[in-house]
Amino acid sequence: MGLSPYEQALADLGTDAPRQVKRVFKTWSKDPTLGQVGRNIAGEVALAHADFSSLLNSFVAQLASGSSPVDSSLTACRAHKLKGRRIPEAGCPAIFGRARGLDDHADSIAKASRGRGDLTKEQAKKLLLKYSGSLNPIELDSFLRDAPLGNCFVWATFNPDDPGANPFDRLPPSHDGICTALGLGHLTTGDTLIVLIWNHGDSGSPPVHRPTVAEAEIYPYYRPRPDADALWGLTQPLPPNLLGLQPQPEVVMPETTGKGLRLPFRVVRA
Amino acid sequence: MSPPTSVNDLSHAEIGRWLKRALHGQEPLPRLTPDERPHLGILRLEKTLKPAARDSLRDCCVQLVREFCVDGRGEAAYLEELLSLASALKSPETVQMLAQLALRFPQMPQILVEIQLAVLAALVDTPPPQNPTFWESILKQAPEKYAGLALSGVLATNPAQAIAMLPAMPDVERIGQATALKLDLAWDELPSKKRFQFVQDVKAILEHCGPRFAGPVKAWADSKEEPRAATANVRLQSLQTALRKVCGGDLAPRTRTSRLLPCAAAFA
Repeated sequence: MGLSPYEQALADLGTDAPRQVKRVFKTWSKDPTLGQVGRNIAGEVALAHADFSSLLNSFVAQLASGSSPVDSSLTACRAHKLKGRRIPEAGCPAIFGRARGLDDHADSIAKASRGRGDLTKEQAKKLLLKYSGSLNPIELDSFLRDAPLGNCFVWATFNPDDPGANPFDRLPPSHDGICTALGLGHLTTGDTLIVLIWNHGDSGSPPVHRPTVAEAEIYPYYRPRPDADALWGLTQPLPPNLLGLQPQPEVVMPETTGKGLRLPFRVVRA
Repeated sequence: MSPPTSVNDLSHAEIGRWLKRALHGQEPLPRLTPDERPHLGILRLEKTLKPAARDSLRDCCVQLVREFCVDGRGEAAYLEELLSLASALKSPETVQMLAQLALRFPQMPQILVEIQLAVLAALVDTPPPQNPTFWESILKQAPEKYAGLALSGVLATNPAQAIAMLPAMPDVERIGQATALKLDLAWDELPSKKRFQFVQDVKAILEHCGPRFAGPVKAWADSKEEPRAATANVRLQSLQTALRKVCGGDLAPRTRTSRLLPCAAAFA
């Protein structure tokens, strides 16, 4: 059996550096979160050889400069974003969707309204709760369209069988069902979700990439899809997954606003 | 190389350093999505901490706000996270410090406008609310810049006074749209018997406002009257039906008399 992409990239680093990387991952293995992060890096197949080598090289250089392993990993990842395979524009799904925390999206709306009406986070949150499910959220509409759909990057899913359809139509509508299917962990009973659907073209057609460990950083619920040739990633449904939900397509794109948002958005309580 | 330590096992000083790194996005946090903002992960983690660690974390947050309030310096992204965390943790001491800082904005030009607005937004969202006099003095500093948040601040404690502020709002459609949303939220929280007068007062003052600002606010006020009229019609029909049952089928002409209409209005 040949070397994995990780092992090939590691081999480029010389003799000492691979040992350093392996020592970090061994230490991380005692921690559930970081242990998974280490396994994800070792299992990543979606980075080109040069990018993977560069990422590991940056990681080792940071360690050598005295940064902590977590800092080193974050710095390396942040310098290698959006290096996963790009979905050709012609084959890009027309409709994307995502679920994120209600507080997080309320923050995005509040921040985007600064100096342009100045909605606060609590006001935005109340308005999202009030107009959830509405096809006519009156004046809120323009604030929704100005707000980014993610922070720095937008993680999204789509329906691979019908790329013009709402991807959430084939998922259970419940909070648990959505989080299970999309592999969104760290859930507490206080977490409320918002489900956003948008038209890719109307959002300005930002480049859509297969996600890698670089975008996932130290998020332990990301899983690298083992198929190196696949155009997109796949989520890993959370256990116990009593409904037997299938992994969902997963892509990442640069931060984009809700210009192409399809109404209604939906707030889903735990 | 030692394995990562749980926040529960850190000393007070170590939690302070951990918190600063976490706010910079440099610590593993329980985030719901990979791109979720750090302070939300900190808040999720805070709920799981042992009491001593939780108290330390809260104290350290107050301390970081105190440091910020001394000279207003700090990286913008970090300060945004710190202010969001402080607002969510709702320490009265934090609110007091931020309010005093806001009053000193004119002497602190090093604070970016973005951060000034984030401070004011935190003051709108975090109890205890500031009184209208505070917001008046903020508005006086820079009416164009702070009008939206000053209005929100006054609306939270004194809706009537907030209505009187509307003519001071910049004549910008987007600000009118935001104001319509804020009035809508305030209307939701009013006792039902005060809502009608609230809308009437807003409508009455709009003639003193710029047309671009007034447009969306008037549309909101009009929309609040439509359902009322519809409800009144439904209730009038119910009243007619009830009267018909009591008085017999020949009542219909009499329901249109002037004597009954005031009663129907009272029901509406």
